[in-house]
Amino acid sequence: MSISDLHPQPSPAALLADAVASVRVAAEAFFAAQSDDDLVATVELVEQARAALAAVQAGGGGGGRHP
Amino acid sequence: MAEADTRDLAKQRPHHVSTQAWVTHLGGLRQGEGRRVVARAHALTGPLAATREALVAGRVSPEQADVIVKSIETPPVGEAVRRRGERTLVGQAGCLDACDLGRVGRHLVHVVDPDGEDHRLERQLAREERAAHLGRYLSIAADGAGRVRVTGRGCAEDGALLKAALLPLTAPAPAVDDRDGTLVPDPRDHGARLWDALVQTAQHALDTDLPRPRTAPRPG
Repeated sequence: MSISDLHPQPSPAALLADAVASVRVAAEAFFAAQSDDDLVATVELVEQARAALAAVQAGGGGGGRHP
Repeated sequence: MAEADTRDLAKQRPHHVSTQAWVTHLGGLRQGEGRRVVARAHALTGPLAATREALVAGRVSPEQADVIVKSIETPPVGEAVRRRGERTLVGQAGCLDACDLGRVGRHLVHVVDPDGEDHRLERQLAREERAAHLGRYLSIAADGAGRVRVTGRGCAEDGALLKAALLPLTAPAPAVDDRDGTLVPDPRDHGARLWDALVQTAQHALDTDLPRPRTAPRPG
């Protein structure tokens, strides 16, 4: 029996709720105090997050038809 | 994004001349989308704090935020009016989609700046007239069969001047029949009468002793 069987993954809604909370904290950051590298990484990650969210919006892996 | 643009960080990345180009490349966006994203970032981190707050809370979508940014930055009004307009649009965002919110925004712009649209149209008209004036020409070319072809193009103002000078001379001129003294309708159609008026005006100019004004070019 694997550990993942004992600890089932949280639902997508729960995962996204955590992600949204984290993103809202990030939105309130004082960006003028961030380093150039952090800002560049933030801009790049925002685009990745935007793409990932579009995938979530479209539906889960396997076309969303599998249970 | 706004801070990255202020620091011009895009130029530290290879092959990017601006933040807009960087964002367009990074997000695989359409041309011009990067500019919209950066403009939104500056507006939301600057004057449109209420819109930003609503965006973070999920009460306003990015599309609605774009509509608010565009609507609020358009009219030349004071900060207090802008804040009030922003609050109105943010409040309406909860029950209107981005299209309807855009209509509200345009109405708002018209209410706070009723003359703005007129001024915009005036500027557009002035631009078109300048372009027409720059592209003006007149050609009088012989066609090799004993005739000439006159063609030309100019601005509407010059056209109105030509019409004002020529049209009074185009009235039909009935002739008297030598045989029985009756009036015969002018056989010339409008085009022929207009041509005659042009020739008559040119002849008059040549016959007149008044000095002709120098034709200094108008500034383009």
